[in-house]
Amino acid sequence: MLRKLMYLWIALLVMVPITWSTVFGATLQNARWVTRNDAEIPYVRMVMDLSEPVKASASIDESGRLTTITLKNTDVGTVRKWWQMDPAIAGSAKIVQDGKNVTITIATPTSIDTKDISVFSLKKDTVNNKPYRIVIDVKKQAAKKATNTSLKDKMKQLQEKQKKDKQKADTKKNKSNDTKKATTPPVTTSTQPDRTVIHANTPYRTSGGLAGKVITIDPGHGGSDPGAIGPNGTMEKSLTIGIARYLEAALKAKGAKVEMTRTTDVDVFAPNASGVNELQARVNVANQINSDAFISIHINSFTNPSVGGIATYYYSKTPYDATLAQKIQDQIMDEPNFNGDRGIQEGNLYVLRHSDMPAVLVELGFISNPKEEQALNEDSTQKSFANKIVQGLINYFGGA
Amino acid sequence: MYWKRLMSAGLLACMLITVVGCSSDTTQTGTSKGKAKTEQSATTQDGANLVKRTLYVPREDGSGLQPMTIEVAKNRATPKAAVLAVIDVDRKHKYPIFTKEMGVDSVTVKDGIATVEVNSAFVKGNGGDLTTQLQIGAIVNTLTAFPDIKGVLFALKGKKVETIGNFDTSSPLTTMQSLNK
Repeated sequence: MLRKLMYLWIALLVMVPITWSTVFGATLQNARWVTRNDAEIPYVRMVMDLSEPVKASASIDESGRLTTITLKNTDVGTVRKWWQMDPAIAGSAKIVQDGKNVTITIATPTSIDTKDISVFSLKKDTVNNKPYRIVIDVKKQAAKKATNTSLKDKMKQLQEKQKKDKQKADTKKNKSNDTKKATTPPVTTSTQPDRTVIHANTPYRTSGGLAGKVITIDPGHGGSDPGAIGPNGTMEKSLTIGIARYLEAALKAKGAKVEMTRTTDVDVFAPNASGVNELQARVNVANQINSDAFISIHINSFTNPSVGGIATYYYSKTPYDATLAQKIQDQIMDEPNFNGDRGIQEGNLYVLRHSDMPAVLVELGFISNPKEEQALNEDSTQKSFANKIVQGLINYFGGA
Repeated sequence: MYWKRLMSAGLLACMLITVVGCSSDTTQTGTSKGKAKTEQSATTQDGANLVKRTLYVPREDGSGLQPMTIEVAKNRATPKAAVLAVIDVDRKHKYPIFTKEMGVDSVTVKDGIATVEVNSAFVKGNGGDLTTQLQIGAIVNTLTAFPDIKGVLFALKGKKVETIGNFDTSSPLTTMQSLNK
């Protein structure tokens, strides 16, 4: 009898965690917060450490002063339930178990709307030993109103800054040429100005559908830089701008906000600029307007004309770059008249490495392959690529 | 197939020794062509002090880099010789990716970082991203196969090259394992 009781007790001990884990998909392991004053608009960041990935949703009440974030199918665990935070941005947070879910209610001193709050998830980081996380950012209101600018205004500011940089570069170049004329020894000083590096000041978004997302399209090359040239004389820069225009229209039709690094056949920084200045100028466009995704459009080239196919490059600087690349590659890889799927590849490409948001560089076939060069010149192919990239973005952001 | 590989390796080894004999590596300044040839002959006859070196050569189908292991005299197995050997093998292909205009002047190694001094044709990267990726990868992977080289930088006229084509070369590049196929 005693032995039977013992077995029953052991069985119960085993069953409890199993039952618990089927009730709750994840456990909240820790919570923390910090005020970030290093951004243009200060914000409070709350981070929830979780044992498993969870789905989260957010809502704001009618007054705009109570924001509730729901972590689905999560056990609240033993974390502190009441948090006193920054009274100027988000005064307090309450974490409670609400049935199968955990709710985090954040009180703000003034009314906020959906643009002021950002909720995103981070994957488990085995390298840095970090668990799955849900991050909640709440922006400061007064500061935001003082510095709030539209996409157009921001682009204007950026264009002025880049124009000044270009003038600075030209002045330096002229000065160095003068020096060259005056003295015979070769000039060893750089003719390039210090590059302007602009960083995004709000986090990118990765969920909630494509509508309303800010997408920067970068048509590769342009102006003094034709890019690769096909056997029949097609220039890469002409194809990339064509596809980019179709992509811009298709994205806008789905409600996305779109910015192009160039809209005509021009250099983004200046003709014959250094690689760094030209590529950083493109990155700056995306960072300046806090883009949610950066799409750089290129056409590949190789010496062997039989080589072809479609590839997407990414650089793993955020947890989402590879996901974005895969979502897009899944759509574009089977375009007819191309040599198939070359897959997603990690590449140390400048625009991917230096953009602050998830970014990809698509290589839409090989201009060096006569069959693919011909297909790329067709409007139907360019439109098809554009529509497929849009579908990839829809899948990435989780629905239109 | 085995004999074809063996012959290719043998040919490559001979080529590497020849390249070394003619090179003006920064670690071997002042060696006359004639003297180098004499030394090469002596080493070959001796047969001792051979070391294995792996070269990473671009594949003609653009699928990646092909590792090739060769044996070469220890005192001639310099980083620059290895880079020149890779370029030389590539240029014998039907579709070489290193153009005739591209040149490597020197390879210096300091604190585990190799700096490859290249000419301006090297940094333009007009051949397309796959071409540039394999050019960079072939050099970086060949150099980082040396036990004392952990990263690779490129320089033009003594100044660090920050980009080659669309690729960022501003910080030392490490082995690109995914290209080795």
